[in-house]
Amino acid sequence: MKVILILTMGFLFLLATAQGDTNPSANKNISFNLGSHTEFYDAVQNDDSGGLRKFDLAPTIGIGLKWPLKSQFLFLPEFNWVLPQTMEKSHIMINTFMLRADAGYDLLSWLRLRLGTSLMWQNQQGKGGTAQMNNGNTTSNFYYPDENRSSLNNTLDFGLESVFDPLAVRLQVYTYSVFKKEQRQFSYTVFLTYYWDKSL
Amino acid sequence: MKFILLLILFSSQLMAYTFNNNFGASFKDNDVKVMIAGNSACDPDNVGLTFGELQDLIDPAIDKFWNRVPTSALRLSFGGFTNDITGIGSRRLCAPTDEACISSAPGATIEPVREIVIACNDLPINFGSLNVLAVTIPNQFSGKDIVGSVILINNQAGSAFKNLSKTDQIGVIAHEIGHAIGLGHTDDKAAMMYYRTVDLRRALGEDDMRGVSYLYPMKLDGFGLLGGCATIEENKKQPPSGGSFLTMLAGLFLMVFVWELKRLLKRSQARPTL
Repeated sequence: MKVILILTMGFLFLLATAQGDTNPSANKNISFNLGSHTEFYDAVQNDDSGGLRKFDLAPTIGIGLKWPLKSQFLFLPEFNWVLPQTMEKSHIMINTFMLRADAGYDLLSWLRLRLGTSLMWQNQQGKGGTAQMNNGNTTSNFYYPDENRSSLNNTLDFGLESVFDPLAVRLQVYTYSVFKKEQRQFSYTVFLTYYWDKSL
Repeated sequence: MKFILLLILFSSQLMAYTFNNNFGASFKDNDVKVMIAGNSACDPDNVGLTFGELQDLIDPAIDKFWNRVPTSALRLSFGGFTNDITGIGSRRLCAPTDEACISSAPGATIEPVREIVIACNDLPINFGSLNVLAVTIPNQFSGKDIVGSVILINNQAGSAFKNLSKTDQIGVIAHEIGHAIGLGHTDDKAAMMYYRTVDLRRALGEDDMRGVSYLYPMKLDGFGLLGGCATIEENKKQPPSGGSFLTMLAGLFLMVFVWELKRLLKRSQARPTL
């Protein structure tokens, strides 16, 4: 984790002290994201024989800005929405929203590095109801949630983006509980981004 | 719009977690202790566990499973031993609303506890069968809050618990802790809260993570530095924390983001077409 922190500080130092004119190849424009989000890589059991989930098909859409800064640096804020996931006949609906911002660095004409942070808002809406399920040798009534509750997390994010103007493919990784090792988890999204260059 | 609707249709259909009570009760405090009843020694011939070995099952059940969910503020820890409940090893476990227990003779049932207490117990009526490995009931509430839960390991002669591998025994304890914090069963075999043991248990399932996050939601953790607060209602009673500052910062960021987006769109529309 120390390495990550040193890299983060180094990246931010470079960004703050970068010399040169505004990135000439980067116009300020709007981006549209489409992707698939996988929550907690390799930390969620997905079968009864110990298999852990590596990939999840959770459609995600988003909108963002590309804001050229000095030299090859960019400011890249965005808002993404993991579309509603429903649990068993819609007893529970889950929405995940990400309000995030990255500092970007155009390492090559086609390769962009991103470092940033997200505010992850996961909302669960329960509609109530009961279910009769096995319980020991008999069956018992169990109860579905009937309220609306949300979890909020801050994440430290890393991204690698391959740009083929006006499109880009990106792997965005989110680190939960950066400073709490026993609870640290990684989620990721694979994005296809369209940069809408209207020469703004 | 059609594309978005199509995506929604194809978004994942998951199983659903449940609660073991009809009002979604949870512990009020997110830091919950798991204790061993020091006066309920497990019979070496039946369960075959010393107190030390039982603690060796509790620690991974907490740390490897329930404490690993970053979207949940619940933090379980081993709280040592308690001798407060006389005769916990052979008395009856009842829900607070159980008519049969209310009418039973005083002293015949286990009185309400605080936190989570684990004991070995050999009273057949608590289990119904030797194949039932353990039972759990939150047995004291205060409004919508769980005050205490009791976990009983089947300590009868011939109990199936003894023949389980250590991995399965950890899984059983973790499953019962799931009940103790308020969760019910699920139909998903991948979940810890599935009603049977499975071939191999390595992590919580998606249902478990969603369920514990619903009961004990994280309210801004500041990258893990701030820790969590409690449920939404409780948060309202608390003074502003570092989390509140970050929320304000996020709100400010969102405002700037939307303002800039609108400005760019306006400029784009205002530009004459060539």
